[in-house]
Amino acid sequence: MSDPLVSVQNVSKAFEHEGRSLVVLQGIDLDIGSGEMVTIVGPSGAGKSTLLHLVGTLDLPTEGRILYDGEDVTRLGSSDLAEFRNRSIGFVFQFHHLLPEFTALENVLMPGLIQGRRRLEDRARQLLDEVGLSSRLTHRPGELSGGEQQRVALARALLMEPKLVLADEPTGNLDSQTSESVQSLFFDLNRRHGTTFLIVTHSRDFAAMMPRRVSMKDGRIVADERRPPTP
Amino acid sequence: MSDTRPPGIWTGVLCGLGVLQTAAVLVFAGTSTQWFQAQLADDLLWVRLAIGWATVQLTLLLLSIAVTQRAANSPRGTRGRARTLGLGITALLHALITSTTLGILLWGAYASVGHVLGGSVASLLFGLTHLAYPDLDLDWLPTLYQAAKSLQGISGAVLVGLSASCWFLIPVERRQRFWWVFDGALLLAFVAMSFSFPITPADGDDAGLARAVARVSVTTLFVVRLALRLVRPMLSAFERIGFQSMVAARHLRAKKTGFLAASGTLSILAVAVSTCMLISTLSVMGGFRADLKKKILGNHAHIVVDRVHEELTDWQPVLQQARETEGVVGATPFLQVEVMVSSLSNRAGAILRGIDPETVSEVTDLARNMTHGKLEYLQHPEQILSPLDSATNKGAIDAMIEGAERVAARGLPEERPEDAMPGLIVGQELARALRLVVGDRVTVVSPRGDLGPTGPIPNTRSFRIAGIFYSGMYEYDMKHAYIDLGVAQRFFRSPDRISGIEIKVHDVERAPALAADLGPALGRDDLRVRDWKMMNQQLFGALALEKLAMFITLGIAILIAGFSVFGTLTLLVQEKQREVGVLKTMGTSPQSVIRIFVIEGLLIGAAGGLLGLGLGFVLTFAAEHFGIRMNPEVYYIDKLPVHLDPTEFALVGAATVVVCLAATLFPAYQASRVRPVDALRYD
Repeated sequence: MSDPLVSVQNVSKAFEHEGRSLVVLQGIDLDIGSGEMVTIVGPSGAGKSTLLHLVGTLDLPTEGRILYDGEDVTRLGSSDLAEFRNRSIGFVFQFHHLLPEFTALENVLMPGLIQGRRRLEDRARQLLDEVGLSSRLTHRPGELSGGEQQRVALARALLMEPKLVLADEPTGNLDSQTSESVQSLFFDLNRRHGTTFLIVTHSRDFAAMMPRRVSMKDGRIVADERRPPTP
Repeated sequence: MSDTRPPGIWTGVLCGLGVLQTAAVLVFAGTSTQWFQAQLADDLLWVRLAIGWATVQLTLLLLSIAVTQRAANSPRGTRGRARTLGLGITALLHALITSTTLGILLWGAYASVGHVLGGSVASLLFGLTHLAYPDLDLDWLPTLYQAAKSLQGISGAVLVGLSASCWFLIPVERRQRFWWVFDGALLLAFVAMSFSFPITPADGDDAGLARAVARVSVTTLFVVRLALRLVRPMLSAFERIGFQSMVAARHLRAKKTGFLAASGTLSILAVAVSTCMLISTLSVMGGFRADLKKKILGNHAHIVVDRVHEELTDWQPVLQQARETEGVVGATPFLQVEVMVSSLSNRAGAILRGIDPETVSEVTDLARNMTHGKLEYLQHPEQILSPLDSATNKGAIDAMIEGAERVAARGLPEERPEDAMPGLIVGQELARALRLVVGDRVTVVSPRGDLGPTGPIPNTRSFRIAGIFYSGMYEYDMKHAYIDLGVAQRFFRSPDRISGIEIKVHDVERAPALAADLGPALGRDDLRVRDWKMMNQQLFGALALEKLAMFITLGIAILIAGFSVFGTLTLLVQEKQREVGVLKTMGTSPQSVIRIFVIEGLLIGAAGGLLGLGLGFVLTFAAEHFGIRMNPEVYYIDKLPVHLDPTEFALVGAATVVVCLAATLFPAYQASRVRPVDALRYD
């Protein structure tokens, strides 16, 4: 793995809280290669979500650099950053965060619409088909079940063929059966499209299935284990 | 919530009857006392009215009891139970209150004259509210009646409001079906009226006026319904333009929380009302300006050629040259001197103008403004006293019976043209002040007299009133008088001299340019050429300033409406914060977020602005065509002048858009600053 897709170098993050500096991340170094599936585990407050947001360029680190293909994204301006996010990163959240005014198809198309591209409609339909929702295209999020909403969110994250998909507890809000099907969908998509996934999860089962597991505690990485994927 | 049973048929009938009854009370209260005075003798009508009214009241009472009982018996939690219950109770109270109000009136009538029905009582009913009857010791009765009437107004308003809200208890499908039928009927009515009803009623034609009003009302309603039907397809088309417009349109279409929906509706209304107010006011002010301009141009020439402080000699070539200039419609000479006019009863100062009756009509509206007498009498004064001439010449007859001496003298000296007294035309106000009618004799005193042994002796001469004109401008009607030019030149000892030449041009707006060209073209340094704008500069300047002040003052109302747009958008941004965060994680740039919310604000502003301009158009159109009567004694115009100026509509529309745009900028900027991390963190 000579050339990592993402390289987090000596990143620290501190928040100002009532005049005191609260350190959330300290000296994080992490390389993620293309096509990898990485999970971050750890107790609450370990800084998992913050790290995910920093990698997703939603927030800036107090110190350190984050490189994508060797390019430092912490130096980009807000418009360039927006475009970079649009093209290179997909997000899946615990609470799907679909736009309630739009249908499932329009939600999936949204990253393309932001770019002013409508030709992606075929791809959006295909993605919805892949996640098993071809019959729910014109439903609004309010008319879909929790699992279906999360599948739509996953399809939306994949629309622009991003290099990296970040997921923050994607199954945290689902019952175990639905969780399993969503989890297997992640592996499925990784196999088929070679998409890189960075997933924060509390689910032991899910974490156990992942080929690489990064454990965090108190803002530091305490373990980085690689295992052959379980079939 | 569980039971979605639609409201019963009796509830519907009660709503309808309640609204009709309230409308009837309003019409009754708004009908002029004159109408009632005219119907006083018709006892049968009053009996019928009383029976009809009693029937309505009784039905209302019974219906309200039935509806109240039905609503009270429906299980708790039924949708609209409270509403129907409220409706029933309000209708019950309303029926009682209106009956009591009428009862107070009838009892007052009975206490005053001893019987309850009949025309004289009706007169008393209305008299009671206006007059005190000290000998009857009923002073408190009008107060009681007023109080009952106020109560009746309140209960009526509540009843109408509740009836309107009961409309929403009807299932959506049925309401939609109703609207289809309603719109279909409206379309038919619109087409039928457009073809058969006049839009501009003839003066004094009440039936025509009613038809025109009906046509405008139906057309307005039709346009409103059409616009409402077009909102959805238009928003859909708007969505297709691009990403920002799509999100903006969806935000506006989506169901919102109650507070935001109310705030949005209110801001649209605020923009609409302020825009409508501004455009109506500007139209009325424009109407005054146009009215004034018309009157000034009608009485005065567009261009005047004269000499400063001196009279013009050798003027025929100048007149000829002016006539031949391109763009000039007519030119006429005049000689003007200030004089004193005295009649038998009074005297007043006036500006006496010697005019050429043959060419004056080419330039001014004098001939058209004559209300009594004729312009030709200036040349043929001997015809003034011809009794056969016209029925309007009452003055001629008056003059004949004025005294035996004059009757005897009539037909002797004045029958010969060369001996007749010269004619004089005065304005209506001057005629009124001097109590003059056509044929009367007046004495005019001119300051230009002969030099006598004790100094200058004023020159006096008798004239006979040849006509009275009404120009619509008080100053003209009070100050101006006209005589024949030749007579004036002899009277003022100015043979062959004139004060100046009046010129009328084809295009009034080009008069200044024409005047500027005419000066050098005449080739005489002593001449001064002025156009109407120059001569009335102060007046029009003051009008323009007044209009600007009004624009600014009422523009502030739009500004305040802009605050409400600001508030709505701030709320909207607050509500959509998480969505903005999501959009930003997907790579929406801050500029794009700004654009989304600016578009939303502009859509709100455009909706309000269009509504306001449309309303303003209907109002001013109606005022222009149907006329709002004004007291001519006070305002010197009989109708409220209205002038619709498309430029002003565009200007007001632009002002509204600019204000709404300014109102959106800050909330939009706030939205663009939303950090996705903050928006997504707390769920």
